[in-house]
Amino acid sequence: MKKITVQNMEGTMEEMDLVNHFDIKDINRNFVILSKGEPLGEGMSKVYISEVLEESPGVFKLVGITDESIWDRVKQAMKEIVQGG
Amino acid sequence: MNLENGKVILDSFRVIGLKNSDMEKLFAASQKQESSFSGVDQVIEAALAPDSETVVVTDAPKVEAPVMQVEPQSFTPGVADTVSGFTAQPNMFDVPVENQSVSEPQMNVMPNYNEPVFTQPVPEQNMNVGMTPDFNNVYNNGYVEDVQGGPQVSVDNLDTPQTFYDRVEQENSNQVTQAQNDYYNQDPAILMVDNIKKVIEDKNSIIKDLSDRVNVLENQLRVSEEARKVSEAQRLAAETTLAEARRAESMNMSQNGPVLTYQQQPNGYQQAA
Repeated sequence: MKKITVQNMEGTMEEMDLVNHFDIKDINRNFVILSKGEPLGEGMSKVYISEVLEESPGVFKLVGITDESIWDRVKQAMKEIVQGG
Repeated sequence: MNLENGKVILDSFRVIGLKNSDMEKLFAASQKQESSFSGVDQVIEAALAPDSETVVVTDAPKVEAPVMQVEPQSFTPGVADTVSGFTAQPNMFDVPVENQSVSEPQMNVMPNYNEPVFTQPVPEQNMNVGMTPDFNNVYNNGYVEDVQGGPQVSVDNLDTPQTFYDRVEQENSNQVTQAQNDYYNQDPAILMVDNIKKVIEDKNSIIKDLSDRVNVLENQLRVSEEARKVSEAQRLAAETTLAEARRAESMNMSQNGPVLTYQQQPNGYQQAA
């Protein structure tokens, strides 16, 4: 899996797995799925999902998805990607 | 969007649990997108079209559980401090105890047969043989009255130099053999018992620590159960209140009749909706 270096909320740099990143065109937003390889129960893993905002060229800020309708769209998109894959 | 080469700042996120197989599919799809399509949009748009129910995406709480720092354990029998400092893993009981790394003390129950036998204390012969100036004379006459301050030696105890040497050698050999046999017959058992006692003590110490940990976990379980009961009671109370409110509203409706709402009409009159 691809690795990216992320500055976490404590300000320290952390390496995470880049599972997928995609955009939903009709709402013109980008999203990213990251993992730290943390198991969550049997056969499951914890993943982190954020919206990607490009603050300046080459500088991306990952923010949480607070709008439930957007979140539903993201989940649906993920389902479809899994099915299509 | 080139996250690999840009600076990425994590501000906030949502956490969900995802099946490992689904995660692999997501990653595979990501690879496929990069290799087969110039843009991601086409793939997403195509993927978003039909309804699907098959993939399970489970919402997990946003608040992350506190992460317990689990350190690898190593038990060193015979060192009590190490065992008492043992911190159990949260799921430690999923792992058979036999799989814990417990190094038992090495048991040397057999003596080293290659050891030189003279390491055993062998009493030396204390020989005080008075040598007379004229040995042959003493031997032939069988008696010496005065040997210049030396001990009185009877003829029966006197040997020729060779027989004396052989006799002393034989006595030494007998004593050494006896001491060696005693060592073989007794010490291995003592060593074995000592080692077994040490192993038992270590095992008991481990069992005691595990038992203590079980007690702690049982207490935590009781506390959690109490909290759950309180939450359940609060939920029931809230449901009861809600049901009463609905009942009251329903009664109010039936007593007062339907509530009319009005829409403002362009001509200034109000019309019931």
